[in-house]
Amino acid sequence: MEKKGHNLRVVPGSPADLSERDNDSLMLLARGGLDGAFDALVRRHQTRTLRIAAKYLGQSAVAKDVAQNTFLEIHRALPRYKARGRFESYLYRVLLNQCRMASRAARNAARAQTLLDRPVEVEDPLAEQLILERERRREVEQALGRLSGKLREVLVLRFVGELSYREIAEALGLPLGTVKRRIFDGLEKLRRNLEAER
Amino acid sequence: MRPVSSRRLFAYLEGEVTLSEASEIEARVADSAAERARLDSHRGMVAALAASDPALDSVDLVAGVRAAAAEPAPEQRPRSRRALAAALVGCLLVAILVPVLLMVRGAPTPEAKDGEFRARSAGGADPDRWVGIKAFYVDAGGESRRLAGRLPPQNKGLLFAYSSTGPDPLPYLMVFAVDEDARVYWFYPAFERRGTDPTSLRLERSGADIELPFKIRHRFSGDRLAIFGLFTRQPLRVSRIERLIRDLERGQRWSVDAPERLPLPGSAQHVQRVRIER
Repeated sequence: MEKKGHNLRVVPGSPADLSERDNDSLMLLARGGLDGAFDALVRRHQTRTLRIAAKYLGQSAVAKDVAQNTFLEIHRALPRYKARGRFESYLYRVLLNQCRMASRAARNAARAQTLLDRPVEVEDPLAEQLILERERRREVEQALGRLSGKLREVLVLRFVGELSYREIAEALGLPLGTVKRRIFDGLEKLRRNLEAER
Repeated sequence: MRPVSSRRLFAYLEGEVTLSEASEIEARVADSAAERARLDSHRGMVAALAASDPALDSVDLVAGVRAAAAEPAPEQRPRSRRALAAALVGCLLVAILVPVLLMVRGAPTPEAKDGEFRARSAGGADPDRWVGIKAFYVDAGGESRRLAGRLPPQNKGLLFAYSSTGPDPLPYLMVFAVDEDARVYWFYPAFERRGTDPTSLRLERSGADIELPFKIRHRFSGDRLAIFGLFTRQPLRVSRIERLIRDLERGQRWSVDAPERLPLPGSAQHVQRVRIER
């Protein structure tokens, strides 16, 4: 890799080049001052981060702030980052902390419904199908919101983040058996919550 | 026959049942419309759990993160009163217990005093002896060669290796060069955009002659350089070093031929002088 400093030209480091690098390399490059490297990290993980935050909080609008704060916290921690091949575990730990904080804040404040959550009247059957799916999703999210944080976290990481049990165990610092137990406890309680609503 | 438990259905969907259990569940589902409906309901719940708002897929956070990162970090919240009270109580206990323990154990022996003195001396007298950088240039043929005093004009950039050893290696490194007119050229961290202020490189490991990854090329304006390897306990910002160099130059204390040690307590420094051939 070749760079030119100060008066300066970075020879590789093009977006295409960066997108092929692993998370740790991007973190180290970002710490070295290559801003494009952190942008590449954000682009790589933002969708999954947003989805997890939205599902955890039950609100898409808040999820954007939470995801942004997550990446900001990681950016601020660049000088202390240790490249051990565990960036994703680190990312999800920071993300869940941000979700917990946002969740606590939300409990103390009345929130307006987001545009995305408002019911819409349509006649198009395809759109109706979409609305039904969205309603179903909302029901599940509301039921999810009534679970304890411990159960909600594992369910969101597993089914929204699509993490393996082992990755969840690593991110949460839990034994594998505990993760499995929480996942099945969580699914069972979620099902009961949904049945109780009907 | 009792219905398959909900937990087992979820385990089946997650692939967390044995082959024989899976066959049993599949047979029950094939035979019973009620079991099929239950399995579909469980599957539907998991699918709804996994489904995301499609609007999220078009959100791009990059600009927002960049803008927020450019702002100064907020100051840390003051500790709570309870934490402060606990800290005060802790300090008080230490203040009471330490003299008591010393009295109980008696005064330190001369050997102990001597050992302590030597230990401090070993760690602190000459931190520079534990660190070093080696510079290499890439010649016209693409071969890397040790930079020893003169940098040929046809070089294609510089490479570096560092050594950081000793009982307590310093974990942060900056590599930069300063020319005779006190212009600073950055290697690590890269300093590529005005308005940014990157920090020291964190060294992932200590040891001797560990290569750094980039080949870096500068257009040097001067004829002579002092290349600094600056090892520190905490990360430093580029702006701080540039300010220090500026202050040295303003005080007419900057000399590329006899560069001063930078006034950074606790740091270890290695300086190599280079003449640029034109």
